[in-house]
Amino acid sequence: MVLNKRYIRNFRSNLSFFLSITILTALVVCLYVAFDSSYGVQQESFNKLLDEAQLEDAQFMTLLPIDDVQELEEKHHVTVETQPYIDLHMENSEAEVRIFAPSSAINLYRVQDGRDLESDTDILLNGLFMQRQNLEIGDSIDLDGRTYHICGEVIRTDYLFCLKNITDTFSDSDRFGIGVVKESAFVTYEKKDMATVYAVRYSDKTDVTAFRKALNEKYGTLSYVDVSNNSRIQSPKDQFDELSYTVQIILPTTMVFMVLLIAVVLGRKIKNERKMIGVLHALGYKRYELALHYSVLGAIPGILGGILGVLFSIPALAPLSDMLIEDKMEVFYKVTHITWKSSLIALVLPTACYVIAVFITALINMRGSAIDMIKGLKKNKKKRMGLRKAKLSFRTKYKLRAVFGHLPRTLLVICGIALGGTLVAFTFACVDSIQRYVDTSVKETGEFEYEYFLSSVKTGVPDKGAAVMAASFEVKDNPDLITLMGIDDTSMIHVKDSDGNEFPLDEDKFYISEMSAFAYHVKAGDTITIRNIADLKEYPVHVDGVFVNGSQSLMVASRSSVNKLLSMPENAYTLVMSKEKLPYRDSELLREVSKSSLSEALDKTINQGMKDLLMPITVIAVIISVITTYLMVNILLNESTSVISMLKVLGYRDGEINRIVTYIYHLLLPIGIALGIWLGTVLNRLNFESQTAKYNSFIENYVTPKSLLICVGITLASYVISMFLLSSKVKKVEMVESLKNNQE
Amino acid sequence: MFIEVKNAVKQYGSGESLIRAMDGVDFSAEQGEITVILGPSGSGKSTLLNMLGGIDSPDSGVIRIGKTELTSQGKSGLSEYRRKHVGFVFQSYNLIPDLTVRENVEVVADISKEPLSIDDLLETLNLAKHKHKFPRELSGGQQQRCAIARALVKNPQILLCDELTGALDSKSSRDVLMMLEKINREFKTTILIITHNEGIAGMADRIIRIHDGKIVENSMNRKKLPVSDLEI
Repeated sequence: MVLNKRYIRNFRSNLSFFLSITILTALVVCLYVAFDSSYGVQQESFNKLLDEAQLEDAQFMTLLPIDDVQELEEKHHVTVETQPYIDLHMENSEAEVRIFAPSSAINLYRVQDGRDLESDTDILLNGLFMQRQNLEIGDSIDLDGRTYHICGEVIRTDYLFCLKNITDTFSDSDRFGIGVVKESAFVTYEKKDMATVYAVRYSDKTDVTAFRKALNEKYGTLSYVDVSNNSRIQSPKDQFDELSYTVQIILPTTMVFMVLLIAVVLGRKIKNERKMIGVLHALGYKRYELALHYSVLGAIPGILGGILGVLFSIPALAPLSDMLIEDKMEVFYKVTHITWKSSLIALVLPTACYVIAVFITALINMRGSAIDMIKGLKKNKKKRMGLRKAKLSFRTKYKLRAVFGHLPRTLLVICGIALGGTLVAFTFACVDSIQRYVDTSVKETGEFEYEYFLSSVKTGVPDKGAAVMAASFEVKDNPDLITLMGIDDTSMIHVKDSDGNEFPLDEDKFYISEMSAFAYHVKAGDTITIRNIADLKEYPVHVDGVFVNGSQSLMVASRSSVNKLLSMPENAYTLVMSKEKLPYRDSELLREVSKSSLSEALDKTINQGMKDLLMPITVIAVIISVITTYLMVNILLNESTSVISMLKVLGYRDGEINRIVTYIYHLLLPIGIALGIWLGTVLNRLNFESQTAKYNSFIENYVTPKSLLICVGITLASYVISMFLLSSKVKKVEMVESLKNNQE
Repeated sequence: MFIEVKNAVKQYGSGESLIRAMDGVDFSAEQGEITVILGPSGSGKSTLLNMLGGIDSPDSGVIRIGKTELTSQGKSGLSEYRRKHVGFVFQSYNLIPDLTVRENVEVVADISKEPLSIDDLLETLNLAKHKHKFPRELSGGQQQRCAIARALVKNPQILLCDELTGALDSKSSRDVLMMLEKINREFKTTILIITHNEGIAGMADRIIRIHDGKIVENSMNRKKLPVSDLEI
């Protein structure tokens, strides 16, 4: 119909409004599609990688070599593969490369780049190691006197996070990498220099407990690491889980909320067309025809914004997929395409919401008679806010009535101001909470500086340091591990309640860390059942208290209590804690951990990656904040055109009009800012609470005063920028507007 | 002369769609006079009023009100002129809906150097008992009187009224016109009234007829009548 010509004209005459809506839609769509696609595609490819590689369900080491693998497999319906390896030194370097032969059933390797092995002198190396050693495909590498030709880049799913020891906290690709050579090359190494680990995959028929018990009885289980406790495999998975809340909850919610907000704004815009709707209705257009006609005005920014958002998201995919995988992990997939699901949602949701909002508003507007619409008369006129006799200036009364007498509009403005603030506050609270966790968690573990995990059980008292009986246990009905510590010297570790009172390490008193209490849902007075990793023997332990420690899954008691529980000699110990460095030989130790390395590892593992990712979100949040506030106050100006025009006629200057009409929402600013910050921190708290098990840490919600100030500053700045952009709007209002019919 | 308009021209559009809203308008009026401008729709009378009020500017010609030459003023100069010297009354009242009667008048009093007493003015215009009401709680005549109070509170040199009785019934129209008569008498305010209504011309000191942007009649009213005797 001829009315359709109005679309482009309407778009032109309200260019800044429609442009703002389109850009805002494009931004939220881009944010959603880019993150959802990067996250979704990468997670999907991660799961595919694990499937294709026939990832182990667990790995274990035994005291005696398993000589009847087939019998074990048939009896317990499992697949077991012996996976020997050898660590070779790189010439002219401190680095070591762990060499594997290609496995046949479990933990299959994938050639990520280059070509597969062809000759005995070919070697595949992991990407991060090559990168750190400045090696490229086609180069040669000398390992313990043998020269290999690097034919490609490899990924082994059991070494995605390339830890030399499974108990290590962080990887060091400057010193350690993995390689795969042909079986015929591998068999030429000295057997005595090799180590062997067994990988197992269970089937539906497997009774895991029975298998593990049988394994321990026949071969003596030295170690058993379930896939869920294997940091080499779990770390990349945890990376995804850390972000799942942000990507799967925060960003879609932001998009939906923004879209709804824009839909309401569009609806209000159409409300201003009431007179025109009345005229067209009087000319014979039917209600639904007019509602449909105006719906297209909603569809245009929805479709345009959706398409632009999807297009903008494509170049963001590659850098985002890099950011999603922390730089200590093997990058297993570069995302280059967006998902159908996210792009479909992004294209349909805004358009549908805008069309529905406009359609409904148009229908509501047409409830009165055409004459009422043309004359601007309304049935059920709302009551004006009072203050009739209050001794206030008309300016103050006008502002108060404009704010409190138009509550839906006011709520919309508060939401607009708060929304940007929420995103900004969430990102800052997230970074602050993690930073605080990193800063305090290591400190609150105790006064020790070094932990020496001994390779064998000792008895008595060490020459220096405090003796600790430490052993890892599984928690019944939970795949996570808990460390049981028996210690007498409480100057080394803190076992204090939240008020700072020390728990007495009396006989048979067991205390659990805050982190474990949260993860395993136990409190003082409850009983928690732990079980030995090797023989699966269960030990019910009564929890006498919960001590402050949000970073470690720990249970602490006196050394005698723990040894009694484990049927060990009363003075046995497996760990020495010390405030100074002790001269243990490598052969005496399983591993050595210093507090500073722990702190550094925590920072590198969870803090840096998060910071990298959150900063782009902050930038987008600021842009969203500016545009949202602009749109919200723009509604006010549109709805106040006749007042602005009349004030001009009466001789008011633009600045004075801005102070009366445009700046009325200054008093809502503190509410919007406070609401935004509050919402941001609540989302952050929910984020960390929902991920305690995933982070393996209990991260408390925390925002520094500095960040609070920055959040306030950013929201304030966004508001000021919006006001600046809007102040020129008053200039554009023509005085003749007031000459049009403007009856109450 | 208090009002002087010399060869004022205002055109809209171009080519075939060119409209000469004011085509060489010349007229003048003395201070304290009531001038009624009559003419059919589209004759250019509202354009003339907008020029006199500093809302719009002519393409050429000169307009002088008192000592102010409007045609040499920029936007801010015209704004100052409207602020200090002109009062407007429109057919559609243009009151601010979120303000009461008293507050609507206060809007102008607030930017005036020597405003009249709002309460006295409302008393004069029989609006004292309605001063705390919002516009929508008033009749059309009461709203128009409120608009007049708002226009007068700055004690303007000139009061410009655009079809001020256009939306009123005859009784309300007479009430409003009687107010204008009283104001003119008491404050010696120069009043310009634009109307279709020939009957209103009876209260004028000067009658101007305008047609197709040209003044076709500019004469003194020898038979000036009190509003109470007008046939409107």
